[in-house]
Amino acid sequence: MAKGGLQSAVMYVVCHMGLIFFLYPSRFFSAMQTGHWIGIVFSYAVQMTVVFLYIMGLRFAKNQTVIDIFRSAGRVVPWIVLLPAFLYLVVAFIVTIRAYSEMLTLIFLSNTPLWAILLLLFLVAFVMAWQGIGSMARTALLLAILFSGPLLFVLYLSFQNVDWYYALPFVGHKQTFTFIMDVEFQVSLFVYAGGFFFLGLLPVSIPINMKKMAIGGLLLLPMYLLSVYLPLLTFGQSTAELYEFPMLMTIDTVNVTWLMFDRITIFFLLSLMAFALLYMAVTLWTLMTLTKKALPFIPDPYGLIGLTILLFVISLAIPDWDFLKQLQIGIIPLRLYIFIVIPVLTFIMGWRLKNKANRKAEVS
Amino acid sequence: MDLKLRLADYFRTNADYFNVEIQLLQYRVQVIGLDSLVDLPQSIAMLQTQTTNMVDDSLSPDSLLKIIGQLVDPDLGAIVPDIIKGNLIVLEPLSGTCCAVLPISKVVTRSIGPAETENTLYGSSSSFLEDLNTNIGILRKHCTSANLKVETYKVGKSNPKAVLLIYVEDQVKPALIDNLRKKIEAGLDKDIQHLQQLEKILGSNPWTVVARFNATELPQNAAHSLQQGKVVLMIDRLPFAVIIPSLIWDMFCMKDDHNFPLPFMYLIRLLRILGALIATIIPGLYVALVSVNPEVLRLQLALSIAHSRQDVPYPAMVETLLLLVVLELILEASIRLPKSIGPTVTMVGGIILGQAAVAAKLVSNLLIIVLAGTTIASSTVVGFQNSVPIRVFKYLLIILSAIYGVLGLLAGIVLICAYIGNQSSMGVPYLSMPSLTQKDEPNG
Repeated sequence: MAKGGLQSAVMYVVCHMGLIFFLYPSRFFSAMQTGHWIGIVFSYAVQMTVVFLYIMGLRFAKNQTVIDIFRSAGRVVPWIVLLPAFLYLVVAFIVTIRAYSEMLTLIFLSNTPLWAILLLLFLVAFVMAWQGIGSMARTALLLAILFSGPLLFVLYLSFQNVDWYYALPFVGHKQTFTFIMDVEFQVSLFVYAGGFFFLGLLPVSIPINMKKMAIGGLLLLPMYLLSVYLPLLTFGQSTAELYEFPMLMTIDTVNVTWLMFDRITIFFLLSLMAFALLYMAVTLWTLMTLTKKALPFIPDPYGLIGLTILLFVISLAIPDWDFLKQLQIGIIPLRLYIFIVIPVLTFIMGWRLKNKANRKAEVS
Repeated sequence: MDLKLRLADYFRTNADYFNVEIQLLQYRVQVIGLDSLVDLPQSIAMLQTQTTNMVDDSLSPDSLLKIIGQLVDPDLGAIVPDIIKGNLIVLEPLSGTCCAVLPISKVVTRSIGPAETENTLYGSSSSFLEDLNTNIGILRKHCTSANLKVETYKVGKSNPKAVLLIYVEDQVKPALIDNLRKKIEAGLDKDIQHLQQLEKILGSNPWTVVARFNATELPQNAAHSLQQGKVVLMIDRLPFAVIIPSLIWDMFCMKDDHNFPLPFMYLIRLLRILGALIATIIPGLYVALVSVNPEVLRLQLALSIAHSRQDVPYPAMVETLLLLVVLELILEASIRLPKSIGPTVTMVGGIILGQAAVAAKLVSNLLIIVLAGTTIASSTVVGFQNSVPIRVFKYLLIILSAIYGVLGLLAGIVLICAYIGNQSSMGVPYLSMPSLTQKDEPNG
């Protein structure tokens, strides 16, 4: 295909976009008081590095998925290595879908019961995951085309109430890197951690192009920055950290007189929900693919159906918002594992495979 | 029994069967055929002109018949298909030889005229006909590439029909054409009377909403798709070309756009995309905003909407569905009715939708505007078959919007996107672009 690599890059960007603006800023404001850009750029740099390592590892092992790469080291290895990743993705999926449905209840649908919203989100994610990654990749492209316009429009307008002095001080007097150890900071890493694992499971028909991925990654940097700095510049740190959804509050302050809508939040929220739905679908698909490889005896659609029902029940069973927060903190080790360990392992294993192949080629 | 008698017996119930005796050189021959397909006097005149010019009159019947036509076995099974096809059979009874002659046939096809279902602005207006040969002729005039290949298949057992597979050899992807060939060859004994049967032969899911083929009456569109590396199928007696694969851009782009200045071309296409979006989203948006999420609207607007809906006794979804069904009925009726009565429907529909329904407090003012906009917008896309999915999709959005408000609208849009993303025709995804090598020449 002529547009090789575009689809995977778009999926990567869209998945992250769906995550960044909702939960990230509030965690981040709790984690850092000053010099927010340092934290963002730091996490971003780590992410770019691990994604680079991950892709290089995959590339070394030509056209193999992560599962195949680890299987080359023994039958049990993929189980040991990928089970934590699987667990993390399960929790991440539940947390995301549950948090989003809470948020939707808050903003749009105060009368609709939670399970109904969850049902809708699960239904959409299920349908998309069912159709496979190929259609999801095309869908991602279509969604990106449809919803980027309103999103950029809102982001542009939300500079309306900005006070640039809030950006100061750029570097605090006693700026240290201790924020890395902060629990809230480690929770905030979830936007960086879970959104790229699916790259390792892509079939050959959806190639990964390093250059396009890099461009996609670069596009994300301003988004990370905006998601934190827009609320910061509008409210200031001490106010912004009080909100559960600082970004939505920021956009609620914007007043556009010529628009027929009272709040432009609707465009923003809906566009991001579209991206978030894609993220959920991709995560669901990832989970399904892992399950299928681990338990190949389950016939095809039933694995996905069972998985979806299971996740649905679990996310219904979560009592409240505080529990979600505790859950987020509880899975920090898993998060760091999927964020850093898996890409590095993939890189090492891929490298090993490549060397092996080279040696074989030399011998023959 | 004599062949002549047996033929007469076989065609006993066919009033248009004829069997006349004429003199060709020194032989008396039987001329057999169907009156409805063969212009008899003209054909006899043709045969006689052909033979009188022959200097050598000592030809055997065998070699004489070989000159004027193609020899066929003198038995029923070989002759009947030829007769039904519209050929003339010349039989020399003494020696028992016979041949099939291509006669001067009666014209049973209309002459080339403007397209019935697609209007053109700034473009060639001749359209495809029921007759295959004419169609190839028209297409060849439009697509003058030396690499244009036309393959013929006889498909069907009880009603055999000619199906043409047309492509430009250096543009088309070999995989696509191989795939198609295989599918057609595997389905050679199935009849093709309509596109659903064609779908069955090509093995695509018959329950899909999005058009698998792009049918066009306009030869320039067919020629353009050929240049883009697509394949055109033509079926005898279907007055349009079936373009495979059908892609989403076929909804928005057509060849004649290139006859406009470039900026206009892009603007027009943008307008069509906008039209498709409006037609799918606006009715759902109306339902969502009126019944679930009125707080999203500006206060004045929300109030005026509430005011216009004050006396309407049922929920917005019922109101919208009600009027939409009336609109669909009008659309369908205006296709069915003869041209002379058509305006009546338009007028009556106009009165009902325009004022009476509002005055009777059955629907709100705003809904009329919304639905009028929808109907107009859904017709902006290229090709009638492409406007059908848009008409269907909006109902999904209306139902979801009625339940979940704007969130339902969004979920519906994502579902539609996912559905479209999942579609493919003959292995080519519906969402793929015509690839870059197949782009138009700057002057094309």
